[in-house]
Amino acid sequence: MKVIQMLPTLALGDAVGNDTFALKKVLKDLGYETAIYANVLDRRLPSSCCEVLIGNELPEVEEDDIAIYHMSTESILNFNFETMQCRKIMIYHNITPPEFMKDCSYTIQKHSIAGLAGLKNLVGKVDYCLADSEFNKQDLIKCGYTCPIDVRPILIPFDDYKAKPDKNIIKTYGSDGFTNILFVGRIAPNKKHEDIISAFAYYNKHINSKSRLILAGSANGFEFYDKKLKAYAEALGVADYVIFTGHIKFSEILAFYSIASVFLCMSEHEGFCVPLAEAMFFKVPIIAYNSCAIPYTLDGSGALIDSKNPVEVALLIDRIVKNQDLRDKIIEGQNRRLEDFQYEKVKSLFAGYLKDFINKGKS
Amino acid sequence: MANSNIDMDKLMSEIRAEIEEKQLTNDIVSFDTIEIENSEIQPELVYSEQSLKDSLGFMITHRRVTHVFGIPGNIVVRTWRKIVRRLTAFNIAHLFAQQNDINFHLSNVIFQLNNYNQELSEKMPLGDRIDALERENKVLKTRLAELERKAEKM
Repeated sequence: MKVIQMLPTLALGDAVGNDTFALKKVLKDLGYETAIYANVLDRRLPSSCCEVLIGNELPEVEEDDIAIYHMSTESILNFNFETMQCRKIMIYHNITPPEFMKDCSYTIQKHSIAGLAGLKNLVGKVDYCLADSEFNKQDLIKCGYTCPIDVRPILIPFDDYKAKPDKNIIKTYGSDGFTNILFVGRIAPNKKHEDIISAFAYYNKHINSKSRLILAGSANGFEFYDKKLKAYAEALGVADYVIFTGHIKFSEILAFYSIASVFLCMSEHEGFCVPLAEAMFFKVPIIAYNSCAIPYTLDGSGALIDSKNPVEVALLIDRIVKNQDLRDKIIEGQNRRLEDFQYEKVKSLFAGYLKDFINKGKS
Repeated sequence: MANSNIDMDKLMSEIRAEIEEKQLTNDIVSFDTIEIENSEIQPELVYSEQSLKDSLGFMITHRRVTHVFGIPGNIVVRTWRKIVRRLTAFNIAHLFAQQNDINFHLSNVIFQLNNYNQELSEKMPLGDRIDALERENKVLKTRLAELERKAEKM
C-alpha cells in the first residue's frame, strides 16, 4: 500500500510545501512507501524530490493505495483528483476569497474564484479531510463537505529554526537600540499590511521614534498592492522606518525573529498562520487581530485584539515593550501553546488519524 | 479558550481610558486615500459597456500583427539583424499569416456577437424580453397542466 501526496505546485519556503516535505518524512518514518507528485516543481528544488505531472497526467495507483491531496489554490488537480482509483484524503489549507483581491490583477482574482470552484467540485468525492485549523474545518462544512473532517496543525520542523541567524541582519537592525516590530508573511491584501503600517505610524510618530517596522515577505504576484503600501508609508511620513524585505533567505528570517520586540499581525484571512507559531518559538510577544484562524492558532495565548484602531494598537505595543511582567506572561502562554505544535505531537496526531482511516477502510 | 493568562478585556479598557484621559486622536490617514494607477490591463469581472467598446476599438485597429518593424541599434547591429530577418523570413512569415487569420476570425466572432446583442437589445430591451418569455412560459405550463389532466381522465 502506497501513501502518496499530490499538490499543484511544490514551492520552496511556502507553508504548503514545507508541510508536504514534513509529511513525507513522517510517512517514511511510519514505514509507508510514499512519493510527492506536483504539476509544477520550484526550480530551486532538486528534481529528485518530486515527480512532475504533465497536463492531465495522474500517478498510477491501486485500489488499496491512499492519495493525499493538498488543496490550497486553483489547479487542474481540483477536477482530476476525483478520478483517482484509490482512497482519497484532502488536506485543506484554505483558499483566499476573491473579495480580498479586488485591487490585484485579474489573474489573481480568477485563480481565487477558480480555486473555490475546485473546492466545491470535490464535495462528496473525497473520503476524508484534514484541516489545518478549526476555521478551515468550518469552511469545508459550509462548502458542503459531509465526509469525516479532523483538525491537524501544519507540521512545522522547529529543529530547522535552530540554525544560525544571519549576522549582518542582527548587526544592522539589532544593535542600534531601536524597537523592532515584525510581521512575516507574503505581501498580500488579505494580510492587511496597511493596518500594521498605520498602527506603527502612530507608535513611531507619537510614542517611540526609535522604532522600526519590518515587513518580511515576498510581493511576488502582488506588485500593485506592494507599491500602494510603500506609497502609504511615504504618505504617513514613516517610509524611512518601514522595511519591505522582499523574498529573503531563511537565515535572514531567523535573524529578524531574533531581534523583534513584538510580532504584529492584522491579517483578515489565514488558514493557520505559520508565522504565529514561529514567533512563539522565538519568544516574541504576539499582537494579533481576532479573525479567521488566528484565534484557533493562538488558543488564548498572545494578545488577541478586536480593534484595529491605530492609537489602541500603538498603546498596546508600548505596554508590551515596556512592561516586562506583561511580556513574560504573554510569552509564558505562548510557550504552552507551542507545545501543541511540536513535531512529535503533530506527527503522532497525523499517524493516529491515518491509522483510523486505514482501519475504517478495511472494516 | 484554554491557555489564556492575561486579561485582554481589562488591558484594552485601561488603554481606552488612557486615550480618553489624554484625549489622544487618530491622525493616521486611511489607506483608501492612496491612489495609484494600476498599469496592468485589468479585464472586467462584471459587464461594462465602456470596457467592451474600448476593447472592440483596440481589436479593430490592432488585430493584424506584423513581423516587419524598425530595427534598433547601430549600423553593424542593424545590418546583422536585417540579414537574420531575411534568412528566417520564410519560417516566420507563414506563422504570422496563420496568426492573422485566427485574429481576424476571432475578432469577427466577437464583433458579430456584439452586433447580434445590439440588434436584439434594439428590437426589445432585455427586461421586456424576459417578461415576454416568462409570460409565454406561464401559458405553456397552464396548457401542459390541462393536457396532463385530460390524459389522466382518458
